Amino acid sequence: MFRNPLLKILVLLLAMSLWSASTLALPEPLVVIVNAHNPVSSLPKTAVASMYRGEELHWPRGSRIKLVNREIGSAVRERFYEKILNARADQQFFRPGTPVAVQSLIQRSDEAVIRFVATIEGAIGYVNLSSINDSVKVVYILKTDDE
Amino acid sequence: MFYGNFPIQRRRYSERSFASLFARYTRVHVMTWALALSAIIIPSWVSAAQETRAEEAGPQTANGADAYAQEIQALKDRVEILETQQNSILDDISQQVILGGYGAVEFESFGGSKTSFEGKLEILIAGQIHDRIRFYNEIDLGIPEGEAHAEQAYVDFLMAKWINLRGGVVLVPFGKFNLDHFDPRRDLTDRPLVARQIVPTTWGDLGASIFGLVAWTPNLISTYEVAVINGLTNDFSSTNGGLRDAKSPLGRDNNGQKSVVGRLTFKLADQYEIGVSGYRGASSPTNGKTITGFDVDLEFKPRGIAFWEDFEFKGELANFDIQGSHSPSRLFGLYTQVNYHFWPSFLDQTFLGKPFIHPTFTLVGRYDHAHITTRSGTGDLTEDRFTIGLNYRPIENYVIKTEYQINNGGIERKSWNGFIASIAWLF
Repeated sequence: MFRNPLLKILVLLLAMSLWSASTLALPEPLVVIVNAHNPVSSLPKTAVASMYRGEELHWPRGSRIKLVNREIGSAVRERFYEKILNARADQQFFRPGTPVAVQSLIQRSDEAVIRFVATIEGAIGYVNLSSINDSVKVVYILKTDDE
Repeated sequence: MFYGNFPIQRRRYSERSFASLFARYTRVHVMTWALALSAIIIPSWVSAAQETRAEEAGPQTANGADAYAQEIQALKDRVEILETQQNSILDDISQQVILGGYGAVEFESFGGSKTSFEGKLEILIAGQIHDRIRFYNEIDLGIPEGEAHAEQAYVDFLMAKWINLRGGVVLVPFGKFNLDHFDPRRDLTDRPLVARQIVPTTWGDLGASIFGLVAWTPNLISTYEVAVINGLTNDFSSTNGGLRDAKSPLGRDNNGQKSVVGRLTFKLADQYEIGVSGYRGASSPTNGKTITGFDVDLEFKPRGIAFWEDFEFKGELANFDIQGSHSPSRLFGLYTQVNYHFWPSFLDQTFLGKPFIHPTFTLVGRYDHAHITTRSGTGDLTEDRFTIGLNYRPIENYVIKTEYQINNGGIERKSWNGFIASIAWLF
């Protein structure tokens, strides 16, 4: 197929680099986002976890925190639950002393999460870093080397 | 006429030529001007006509298509924003009232008694009146006792993360098990002895409490709840001397003296939790005999440590002293429990595993001990229990449990060994 040996080598090198890139690729950073009008500029990991566990219910200004989640089975939710909440992706959190689960709104893509957070002032969500745009504010970054 | 005809002719010729040339010249000019004018007018007219046609034809031209595409995109964006706002409103509505419940059906077979099915069904109604005012009701429908009652029915005023106010029928903040007693959440069907005879779970009472959460460091969190309640009565169980029957009947206080109860927890690195509880209150309607109690609970869920992260360790210890009472005068109990969560991958493609995301088996081992000190003729009562169980959870809110108990003592199951199975669900 390739008569030129140099071309053969080049193709081989390209294939090898593609294979190694795909096998050694690290997951991209995950970011926690809030509405652009939210006065909060950054959050520690524990505060984010506290919100998603239903321990922290309100923003400092007093409005209710609206939790946005990805669907169970999505890779980004799996990472968020494992690294931030120390839990399995399908784990439920309950109001203390009750079997009532902490409520969150499910959005099925990064774009949908961003759209929701950009529109609703009290919302908080998480997406892959590559998905974000100027309509939302990043308050926490889970870097790959933190994992 | 020298020129005769010639010149005349010439002249005529010349005249004719001149006229002809003039005429030609004039025609050429007119034509040139006409052409020039038409060269200016026609293209602009054509252009105007084209624009008009483009406006009329719309998407048939490139400019029109772009305009429509932009308009469609703007509409799409608007629809998406409206959808998002609608979702937010639906979320708000769903927070207003949450209707749920949990239930369990149990089967037990012990040597000393007839086999039996028992059940439980509780309705949960929770919600928010305001962003900062929420309510919660847990109504036990009275299976199998036959009388419905409120296990919890309170309203919270959420002031700040570290301080909030609760009032109504509150779950008494004494021991972790009492606060997390819900059947579908537990891994064994039978409650520990300490959570039945010593701490009378499910223990609710009329009163008010303050509660909150304090984060000391990112890895150390404390919670607390302090309640003032009517408190335990002196109606100690006639059969085994435990505190189950001493729970307040959710009526008027029998002695007018309020009881104080509280629990403080420390949670480290989201893995270790220790809780300390205390209780003090009068029990008797006449001489105000005081009951004092304390409870220590522990829970350890290793995370990020290979092999151990499938384990869960928990335990609780409780003690009550009853002043001026002979039967009982002191109650003490404890339990320790180990859970091991696992899932054999060969079951992935079976009906047990296939449709679920994280089905889990849990192997459970528990040791129970209770000691009731009496100064009556019957003497002290003790009971030890070993339980081994296995449960299957296809999803977190549905569980099938089986367990075998080995008992030795004289409080609850006496020395009868037996088998218990149950199905519990939460919705």
